[in-house]
Parts: sequence; C-alpha cells; structure tokens
Amino acid sequence: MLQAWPKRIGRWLAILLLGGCFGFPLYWTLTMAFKPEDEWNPPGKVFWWPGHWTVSNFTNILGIQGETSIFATGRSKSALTPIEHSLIAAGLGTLLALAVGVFAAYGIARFRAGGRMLPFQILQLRMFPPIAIIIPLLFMWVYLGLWDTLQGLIILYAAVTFPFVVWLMRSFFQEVPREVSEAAIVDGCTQWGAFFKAVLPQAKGGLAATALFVFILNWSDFLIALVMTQDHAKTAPVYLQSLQSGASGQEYGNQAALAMILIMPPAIFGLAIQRYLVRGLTFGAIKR
Amino acid sequence: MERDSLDGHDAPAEEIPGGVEKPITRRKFVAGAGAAGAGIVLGSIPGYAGAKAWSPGSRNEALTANGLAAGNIGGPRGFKGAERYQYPANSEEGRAILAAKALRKAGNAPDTLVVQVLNFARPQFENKFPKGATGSIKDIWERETGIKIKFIETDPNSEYQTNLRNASTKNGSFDLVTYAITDTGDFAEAGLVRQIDDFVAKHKPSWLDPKYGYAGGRATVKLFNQYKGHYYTVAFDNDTQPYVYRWDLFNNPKEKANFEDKYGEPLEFPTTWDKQAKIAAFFTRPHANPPLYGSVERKVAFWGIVNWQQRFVCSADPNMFYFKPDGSANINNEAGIRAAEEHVRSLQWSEPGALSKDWLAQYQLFGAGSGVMGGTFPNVTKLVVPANKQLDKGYGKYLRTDVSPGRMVNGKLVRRPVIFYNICYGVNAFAPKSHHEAAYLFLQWAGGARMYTYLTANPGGYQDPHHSYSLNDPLVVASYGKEPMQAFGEIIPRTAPPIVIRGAAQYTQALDEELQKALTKQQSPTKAIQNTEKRWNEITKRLGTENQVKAIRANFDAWPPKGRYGPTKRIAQA
Amino acid sequence: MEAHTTELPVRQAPKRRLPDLGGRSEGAVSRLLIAPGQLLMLFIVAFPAAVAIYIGFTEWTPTSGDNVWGAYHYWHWFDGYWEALRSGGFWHSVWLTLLITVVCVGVEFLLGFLLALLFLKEFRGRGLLTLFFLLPMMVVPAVSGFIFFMLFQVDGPVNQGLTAILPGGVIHVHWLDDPSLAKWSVMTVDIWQWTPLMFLILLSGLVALPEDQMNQARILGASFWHQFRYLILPMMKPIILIALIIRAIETFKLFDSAFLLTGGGPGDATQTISVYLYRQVIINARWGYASAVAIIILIFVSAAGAFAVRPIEQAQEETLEGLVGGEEQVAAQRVEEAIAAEARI
Repeated sequence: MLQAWPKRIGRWLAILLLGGCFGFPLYWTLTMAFKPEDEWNPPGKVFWWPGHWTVSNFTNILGIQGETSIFATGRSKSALTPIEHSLIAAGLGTLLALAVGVFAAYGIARFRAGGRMLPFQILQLRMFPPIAIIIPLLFMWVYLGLWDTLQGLIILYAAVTFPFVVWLMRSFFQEVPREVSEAAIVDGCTQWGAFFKAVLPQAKGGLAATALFVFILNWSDFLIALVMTQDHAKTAPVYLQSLQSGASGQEYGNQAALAMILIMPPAIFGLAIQRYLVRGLTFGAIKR
Repeated sequence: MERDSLDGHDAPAEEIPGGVEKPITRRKFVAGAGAAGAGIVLGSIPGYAGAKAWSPGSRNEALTANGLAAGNIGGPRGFKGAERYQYPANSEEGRAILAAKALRKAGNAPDTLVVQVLNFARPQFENKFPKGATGSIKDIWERETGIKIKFIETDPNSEYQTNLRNASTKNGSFDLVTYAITDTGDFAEAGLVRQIDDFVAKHKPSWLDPKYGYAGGRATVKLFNQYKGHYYTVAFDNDTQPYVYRWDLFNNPKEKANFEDKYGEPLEFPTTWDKQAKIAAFFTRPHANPPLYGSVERKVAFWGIVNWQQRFVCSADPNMFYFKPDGSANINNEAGIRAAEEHVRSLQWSEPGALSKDWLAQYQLFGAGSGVMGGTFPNVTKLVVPANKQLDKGYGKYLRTDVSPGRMVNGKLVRRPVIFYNICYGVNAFAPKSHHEAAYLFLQWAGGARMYTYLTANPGGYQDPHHSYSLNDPLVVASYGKEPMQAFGEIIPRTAPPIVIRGAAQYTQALDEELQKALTKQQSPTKAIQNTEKRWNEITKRLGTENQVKAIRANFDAWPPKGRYGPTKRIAQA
Repeated sequence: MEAHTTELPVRQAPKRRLPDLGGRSEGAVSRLLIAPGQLLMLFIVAFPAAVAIYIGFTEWTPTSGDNVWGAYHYWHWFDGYWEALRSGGFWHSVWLTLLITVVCVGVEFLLGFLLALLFLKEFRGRGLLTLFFLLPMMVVPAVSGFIFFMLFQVDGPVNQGLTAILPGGVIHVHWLDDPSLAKWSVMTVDIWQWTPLMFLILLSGLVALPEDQMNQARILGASFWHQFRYLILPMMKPIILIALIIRAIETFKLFDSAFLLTGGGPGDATQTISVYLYRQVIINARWGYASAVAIIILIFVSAAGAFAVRPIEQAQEETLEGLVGGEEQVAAQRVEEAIAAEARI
C-alpha cells in the first residue's frame, strides 16, 4: 500500500519524538560515562556534553589504573569479577531454566501434563513478592551450603524464571501443528525423537526470544544476589550498589560506565537473534 | 548497678610513655607483662632498650632497637616522629601485642583473622603512611604478632542487612564485624556481637586513662563501647557533627554592620538555635553570586535526622533524652515539637532540591561558597581544600569549625552535638571460640591511643580521632587542620548519642519518615511528632518494654554529665 | 476426524485418542516432561512457603537472639495478619501499588501499541530501529533507577531542559521530593523501561495477523479504523490479555525504581508493596510480620490472577477450537462486519 506523503512524515515524526524520549536517558548515561568527576553533578549546572572527555570512569571500575577519585578510598576490587559472576550465573541459570521449562512446556502443550491448573500454578511463582520469599530461602541455602556460591545462584535464577519459559514456550509449541510430530513418529521416531528432531526446530525462533527475555531477567536481578551472596559470588548489580555510598556519595560517572558495560551482553544477544524476535510472540493465538 | 570493669581502675598499671624510664616493682611487672617468656620479660625492663625482644615466633626479629625508640617494643617506624606512635610493653598496645603472641604460642590464636571492614575505612589499615613508613598498620600487626589479617569489604548501604542476615544464620565467617554505633543494640541482642567484659578486664585498655583515654572521659567510653552496661564494641570513629561556617562572611565589616542594623545584636557565630535562625535568614541570598544559602545542614532522608536530634537534645540540662526511664518516648513535648518546627523552617535556607541531596552535595556547596553554615561531618575540612579541585572552588580556606548551637536552659548554655553513623567493630560471637581473644586484641591494639592516632592521621580513610592523645598530634593536625582539632577538643566531651538501643533503626526510621512528611508539607511538625511518639511506643512494646528499659537506663550514663556547658565564645581565632 | 485441509494445529481434546504410533505411552512421557519442573517448584516453593507460613504466625525477628526454629517463642496466631489489615501503611502501599500498576500497564500498552502500529509496515532501517527501541528493556533496573535519579534532580537535565524550552523563569519542578509528584516520576521509569516489551509482543502479534483477511477488508473499502476495530483487536485479544497480565504481575512487585529514586518517597509517598516489605524486613527486622504481609499479598494476587487468566485460557481455546472447521467462516464474518461498518458512514 502506497503511503501518502503526510502519513510518512507523520510516522517519522512520531518515531523521532518517541525515540527522543526513550533515547534521552540512554544518551545521558552514555555521555556521563565519559565525564570527569567535576562534571557529574556540579551544583546548579548541567553538562549536556562532556566538557573533557575521559575514560577514567571505566578504568576506575575495571581497576585498570589507580584510583583517580579525590577520595582515594572506596573499592579496591574492580568490577571485572562481579561481571564475570553475573555472566556465569545469568547464563547458566538461563540454560537451566530453558532445559527444565522447555520440557515442561512441551508436556503441557502437547499432553496437558499436570492438569489444567499447572500453568497457573507455575505463574503463581512469580506473584509472590521476592523480598519475603528470600528469607526462608536464605535459611535453606545456608543449610545446604549453597549460600554465597555460584551454583546456588544458578539454581535460584532457574527457579524464578522458569515460569516465563513455560508460558512462552507453551504457546510456541501450540503453534507447531500436531501433524509434524505425528509424521515423525510414523517415520519411526520415538516420542522424544519427535520432540527433538521435528517439533523443537520449528519453535527455534520462539526459543531464541524466550532465551533473551530470561537472560535479561537473570542478568538484571539484584535482590536475590544481594541476599544470597557476600564476596564469593557477588554479581554486577550488587557491585553497582557500592558505587553509591556514604563515603563517596553518588559516583555518577562510574555508575554510568558500569551501566554501559552491563548493557552490552543483552544487547549483543538481542542483535544475534534479531531476526527471531519479531516473529512469533503470538502465544499461539493467531493463526495464519 | 552496671558492671564497669574499668571502674575504680582508671588507668592500668603505669603507662610508660615511650622513652621515659620508670621503676617497675616486681609485682606490677608480673601483672603487667601478662605472658611468660624470658625474652619478653627482658624486653620490658627499662634500660634494656637495646635488647632483642625474643619471642617464640621467628617473625619478630624486627623488634629491635632499630627504628624503635628506647623502651618501645613495637609500632610504626621509618619516618620522623614515629616514636610518638610506638609503645612500650606496659601500654594498652604493648599488652595486646604480647598477649597475642602468647596466645599464638599456646595455640589459642588463629593463623588469620578475618575482619569485616567498610570499604572506605580499609585504606587506613592497608596504606603506608607517611612517606618512609616501613609498613602499614596491617603490616605492623602481622609482623609483631605473626597473625595475618584478611579484610573483607562491605559497603555502608548494605552493612546493616548483611550483618542482620549473618546474625540470623549464625554466620561465623568473620572474626570481627563492623557496624554503625546505632546498630550496637540490635547486634548485641541478636547475639552477633560478643560481650567483651572479660577481655577488657584481662587486658586493660586505657580508654579511661586521663592521658591516653577517650577525650570525653567516662561518658564517651560508655557511649562508644558499651551497651546495657557491658562492653561490646570498640569504636573506631568519631562522627560527632561539628558545625562549619564561612569565616570571611562572619568577619566582613559590611555584613556585620548590616546585621547589627537589622537585628540589633552583633554578628557572631550562633551559640543558640534562635540566633542561628536569624543569621541563616540574613545570609540566604539565592540570587547573589555565588548564591548563598544560610543553613545547609542536611534535610534529606537518612542524612538529615541528626539535625533534628541536635535541636532536641540540648533542650534540657544536662540533656534532653529520647526516652523516659519508664521506656516511653520523651519527644511529644515542647522540646520535640520545637525541634521539628525549627528543622522544617530551616529548609527554606537550604539549596533548592535539598530534600534529594546528600552530604557530598553539601561539601560541594561549601566548596563553592554557597554554604554559609551547617552541621556536617568531621572530615569536611580535610576534603574541601585547595588540593581537591573537584570539591573546592576557592572557598574551602574560609571554613571554620565550632560546636553546634544549643539552648539557654535556666541561664546555662547547653550545646550538644550529636553523633551520626560512627564505625565500630565487635567480636563475632559465632566465630570459632579460639579466635575471639585474638580478635579482641587486634581491636585493643589498633584502637589504642597511639596506634589509633596514627591510624586516623592516615588520609586514606574516614575513621576520625576521639582520643585526647590525638588532639594535638602533629600528623593528625596536619590532616584535619589545627582549628578543627581544637574544636574537636570542645565537641567530643559534649557529644550526645543518637538512638543506640535495640531497634534504633526502627525508631530512627519512624522519626525520619514523619519528619519527611512534615518537610514536604504533608503534615504539620506537631502531627509528625505525635505520630512518631505513637510509633515509638509501639516499637518499644513490641521489642519488650522491660528489656528496652534496661538499655535505656544504662544509656543515660553515655550522655555528657551535668556541668558541661558552653563554650560561649567562638573557637576560631583567625 | 474432520476432513479438514488447513494446517492448523489441532488442540488435542482429552477425549480424542491418538492412534498407536509406538514408543512410550503418552502418560509416562508427559509425566517425565514436567518432572524436573515440578521438582524445582517443590524445592524452591514448597519449603520456603512452609517456613513463611510458620513465621507468619509469630513476631519473630533475628535481633531476638533466637534463630528461625525458635520462632515459636514469639507465637501470636493471626495478630500479624490483623495488624497488617488494620495498618494504614499497608493499605496505603496497596492502593499506591494498584494505582501505579494500572497507570503503568495502561500507558505501556498504549505506547507499545502505537509503536507497533508505526513499525508494522516495512521501511528502511526498521530492523535497527526496532533494536534501538528495545534497549531500555535491557538496562538493569538498578541502573535505570539511578539514571532517572540523576535526570530528575531539581537542578538536573530535565528541569534545565524545560527551562530552556518553556517560556517564563527557571523551572524547578521537584520531581523527587514533592510527595504528589514523586510517584509519577517512579511510574515514568517503569514506563520507559518496559514499553519496549509491550511493543515487541504487540508487534509480533500484528505481524502475524493473516495477511489475506487484511487485504480483503482493505480492498473492499474498510478504513483503517474499522479494520482496527473489527479485525485487529478481536484477533489480538489473547495476546493483549497475556501481555497485560504479565506486566501487571511484574509491576505489582515494583521495587527498584521506587527505592532508588526516592527510597520510598518523601515519607511514604512512593512506598509500594515491595518497598513496604523491604522496610519491614531490612529496617524493622520484623521477619514474622513481613511473612504475614507477603502471604496476604500472595492470596490477593493469586485471586486476581486466577480471575484474569481464565478469559485467556478460554480465549485461547476459542481461537483454536473455534477455528477448527470454522476459521474461514469466522474470518469472512469479520470482514463483512468491517465493510458494513464502513458502509454505514
């Protein structure tokens, strides 16, 4: 359909306006990451653009160079280890959530396993305010020796995000025609074979999108890591909190630098699976 | 009724200042040495300074006369004036070192002590200072006792919940835990912090000594180190809020003339809150260049609550306490309401958006010349200096320090600065029992007059001095400034505590929330105080009135005693 | 079996029987499939829930000196529940959180739909622009909290920008410490962060709409608005519902932005349920009471959730089973409705 000119301009204007609103905080963070300390928050002034470009914020938090902060105190550790922990915990947690959730989703979609109420029960997991559930979990984790370990984090992350996997993948599996798996079985596969070789590849795009969402959720987690780790498994969001303290005030530049670094893994992941993203989040509701 | 193990024994047997020889009777010598070992005995006989102090641990070969002044067995070396911080055997630090070595020999001390430390305090332990020093404080301890120290950092945002969590799970991974003075009650009751009366009695720190003790005497010791009448803590800080002001403005002849014309009294540093209000109003000129704000003490949540407290506690002679002896709240009265009204009213003399700005913004205000006066942290004059371009825009040199304003009560001037935060360390009761004593000894050693003075002189961190011994120490004065240290000498004896009993966080949070509502005009100051009183009484009831009453009554002794009035004159002379 | 020629996934109704195609029986396979999930749920949910219920009946606090097993020393039956239900602070949090949820989810939905409609037709740079609009979702919530804290300062960029654009003197809006404004600031953060999710879900739905029906309607003369009302909306209903429910559940637990921006607001102006719980757990250390409150919340949200999820389950079944053997009729009917509406004008 040919778009009339006014419509096209209208659309571009709308996109620009919305893009500006959504993009401005990102722009601000990006420029803040490169500002020196006296431009972070000077009383009464605002630097729209760094007056002096500097990478000292990055070197500060990565521990590459000595402290250039006027306070000469603060973290002696860099952000590298927490970032590493975040990658491991979020990555493996996502994989575990996917493993458990994909099977459960297939069972529910294909066989109505667990009964009618199971999907809702699974969703209930996410309805409980996390801060209250974290305390009994804390005692359990300490008892099991999982406190302040990466394994403990991974299991927890998988547990809290697997409802999403179930709900999303269930709808993707519902989109895959029954005939596909039936045909595979006729060809000689077992049920499992049918699942892996015939059905799952069809839901590839959905799997990618689900993986991205779950990874973002785990990557962003703050509360669980705060309570469940101390120094052996500290993750990046917890580390971020130490950049704002009673000793140094708000270290805006350092926080912005860390923010820029932390945006990259999900963004890269998103870029990699870009073509799957806007394809099938239909929850099995719309049929062509 | 409280047990005070140092009561009646104000000074331990003869503190021997470095280099001065004094005869020791045999009995006192045996009592003071605290450990067997011929080498140690030899080392503490005065006149035997050149002797190699033998010790079972081979790591102590450094304890020779080289670098140590005569009579001393340990301490920092390598720079001019180091002997001020070195200690003989018969001193709190010396006793601690010798006892630790003895424990080690007997197998009753760990190889490594795990110390929880706030991230901004750590450098004072680990950085070498000043130039030429042969080792950091951590190095000195490790060398002299053979016990290693491992620091695990925490940050002030999460320190309370970390310790709360560790208390609930009986976490013994730290030997020493760190917290703010307000949390002492909570962690003592939770069983996290071990009572240390026995260690104090055995190793005799000099906290009450006239020369080597805390600057405010008995009240300061009780405030910093005791809860419910027993020793639990060793304080490693002094966050009593001084009052800082712009000297140049107060001495400007034109300003003085204008002020006197307007108010009929001379322009002087305010000794009372009423005067403070007048001066603040007079100096608030948002359109000047630079904009001037007359009263920039903090009003934001958490940081600002101490300013209500300062307006409150000076309302009676000797003190206006937060609680009555029966446990009920003591704030719903003229003093409490007036303090709330003043607190709210003074917001108009702060910078715009003050309700979201923390202490760093305040330092920037001082540095930019916009802060005319305000209650603040002791290290403001350490940081807002010409060397720090980010904070100081040229006005740092005009800042002077004084005691917070107060009130006239029955003709006497009562001024009471209040402490805020204040880093403390305690022995973790859940750590292995064999570690407790060594952990305590580290605190006695590093918290002793000499070593602690040396520690606070280190510009790397935020632990501030509170010993008399520190007030005139050259290195400390070089770091903080001569005039601020003079002011601290007046401030510390008049220091009033914040709420330090169990539940402190809850009481303070309730007060803070209600005051924030008053500051944002959601309710009147009177209503805020009434609500706070209600909430406080609920909290007390929930925590157990009987238990709270015990803590409250014991706490009365931690306040300045009767007779601590004034000062009536400004401290800074130039 | 119906003689149906479309390739629709036919939902297995329980009474249908699968022809025996060999392999393990269905029952065993299905049980095995959900076993890990159930195990995880049991492990992570059942035990903590039991402990939470237990300490919910007590006034236990870690500063009491007792550990959790000794919580029964502070047993007080339903006092905690009673206190919460009578507590002004609790109800204030509930209403505030509901307000925030409704406004945030609503605005996110509208903006997301608008964006999805804008992006529906192919244009140059659509792929990259889509990724750009997804970026806010990928920012760690702790970070977005502090970003907006910076932006909303009284002398910060937002006010300075407004001063530059609008006539009149210096604009000093107190985004963060004005009690009535603070919650809108918090909502802004949530909207900024999660509109991209709505955008993505709704765009997926729009893109998947049957092309032929849309074309049919357009060729027959239906305006865009009528297409929207009679074709797009009905077909998107399940997706819309699911997106709304998921976002509603998550927004109800809002914590990071409220806490980082204002710490719970001047007083309690931005004290969402999660901030209220945080204060009870961390500051007041009232772990028994907090558990009771959390259980009340769980019951409430479960009830609301059950209520909301039912239409989705029904809608899904309708869409699928209703389409079996009748898709074309339904589709044609919709197109006719759209044309008729057009004709009425």
